[in-house]
Amino acid sequence: MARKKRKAPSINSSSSADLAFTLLIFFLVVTSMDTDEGLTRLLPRWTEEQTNQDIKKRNILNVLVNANNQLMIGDEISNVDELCEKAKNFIKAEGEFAGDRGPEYIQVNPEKSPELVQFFGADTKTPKNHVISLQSDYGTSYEMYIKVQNELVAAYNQLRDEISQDKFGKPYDEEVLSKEQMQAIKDYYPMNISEANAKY
Amino acid sequence: MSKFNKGEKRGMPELNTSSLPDLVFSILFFFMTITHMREETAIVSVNTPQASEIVKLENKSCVTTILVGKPKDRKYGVESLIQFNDDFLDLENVVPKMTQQRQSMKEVDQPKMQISMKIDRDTKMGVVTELKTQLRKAQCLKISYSAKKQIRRNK
Repeated sequence: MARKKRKAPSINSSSSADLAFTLLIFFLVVTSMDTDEGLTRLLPRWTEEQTNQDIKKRNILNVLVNANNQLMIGDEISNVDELCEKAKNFIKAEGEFAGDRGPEYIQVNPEKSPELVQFFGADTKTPKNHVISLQSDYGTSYEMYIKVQNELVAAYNQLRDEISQDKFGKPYDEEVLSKEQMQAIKDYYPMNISEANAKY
Repeated sequence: MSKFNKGEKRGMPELNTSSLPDLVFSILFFFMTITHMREETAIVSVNTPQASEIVKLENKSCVTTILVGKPKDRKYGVESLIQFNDDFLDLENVVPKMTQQRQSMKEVDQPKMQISMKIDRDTKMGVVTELKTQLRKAQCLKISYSAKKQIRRNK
């Protein structure tokens, strides 16, 4: 007589769901999905002695924020809302732009130097010598400082977007432009923001 | 006896839950892979400012976070202090701590080291500037001013 094969009793697995749920809830609680975001900057190297760089006055746009969070752009007291537009006009360095808005608008107007930029040709006139000098005071609030920084970055981003639309017909965005195109635009409008030490 | 009442009660057929654990496990694995353990608890209160032009910090393994803000515990005073890894950090100790932190990173990541500064919006720039000077001395040149996303109004 053929013996019937005896089945091993199956383990009751109904509680494994509960087990998995507890683990799941633990990881849910412990997870932080937030990714860190911020304005990235590259600080200059530390040198023991103060290096004095000779920069022509016309190449510098002074942005000062004092302890009362008041803003001065160039030579005049100004408002954060105007900073982006003024910085754009300064970086663009097109004579007629400075002229349009009156002589007091931005007296300094950085010189353009011929530069080899990929896609743009060998002697593309880029405002690579310009410097935006951002000076803050010991008592300036960080919130104001970031607002100013943000406006300056916005100015660069908008200019880069304009040139990208002109040249490539695409927005200035990592996802649509190739790496070389991104670099070319960065070479065209290099970000030169100098963060001077707070004044005492 | 009524025609429709069959005497014995018909129960609902039981739902087969044998695949439920698999389902839950798959969600579990998703969260396990995505998780990195929550960082240190903040001992300073930080409310980062808002900005519209922010970018995401790419690889997290290269990012070191420094917090600056008023201490939550009033016994440490009301002046803004720097926090790093669960403890207050004096300005003089920034350079050794950062060097130590850099050494603890993988060799390939060391040149990519990035400092994310989470600074409270009411902090005075004096502390921030001094911290930046110390970071420059420590050769930590890639920094990020941590901020919250804000939609730009006038574009």
